Amino acid sequence: LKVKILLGTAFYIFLTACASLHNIQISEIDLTQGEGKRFEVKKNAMGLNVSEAAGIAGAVSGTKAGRSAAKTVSDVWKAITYGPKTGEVTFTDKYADDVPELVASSCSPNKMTGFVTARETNKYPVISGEIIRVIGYCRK
Amino acid sequence: MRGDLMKNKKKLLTLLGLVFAISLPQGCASLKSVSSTRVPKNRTLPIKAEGFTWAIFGFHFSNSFVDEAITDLQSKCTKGKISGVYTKYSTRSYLFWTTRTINVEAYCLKANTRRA
Repeated sequence: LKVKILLGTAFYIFLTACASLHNIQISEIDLTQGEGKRFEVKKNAMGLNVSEAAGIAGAVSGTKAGRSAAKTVSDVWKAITYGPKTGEVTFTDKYADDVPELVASSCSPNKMTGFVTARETNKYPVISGEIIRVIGYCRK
Repeated sequence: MRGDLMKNKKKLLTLLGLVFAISLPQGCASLKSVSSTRVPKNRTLPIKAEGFTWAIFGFHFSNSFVDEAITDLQSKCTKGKISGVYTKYSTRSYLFWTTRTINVEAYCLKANTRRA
């Protein structure tokens, strides 16, 4: 029963993902004409952690050679991704570049207010969702 | 010589124990981000809002506390303009749990007081 509970919990965590908030910025909000219509723009890219994948592969392999190879892969990955970073590394940093365009198409420029810009990560084992979220309000 | 070493070791352990005991209820703070917008001239109506969440071992499954902070902020300045928004996002780590807090401080400019 204990194993089932543990497995169930692990599966739940695997499905739901851990949410991280890295930074947030709130701008001025004009509520003089009411709250307005909320809009949200979200762009994301897949983050990767090969070190975690190697760890899992090493544990699953069950052999000394397998664990050793996995450790080498993990060490190389750590070496090439060394240094401060926000969330996990992605293949490109251009995934957020069309956010301004998406925001502009969500509401008339002179009616926009209350911008909230958040950088978030949804972390799954090995992979992650690296997210840029912009919330705004479109005045009536 | 060995006696001195033992004495120093005991002192060091006591000191470490004290640091641990003090830091346990306080938690370790980490300031994640700070941002500010233009501060208005009229600062007669300061408002504050907060978004807070906690989780055991840092397993947070949602960032909805961001929306809570925004709703809280908006509810404090209905039919006004929120200006001079200072946003601080910080986390605290305790032994078995972590907390995440968004503190927002701003100024509410109502129609009759708006001369920013």
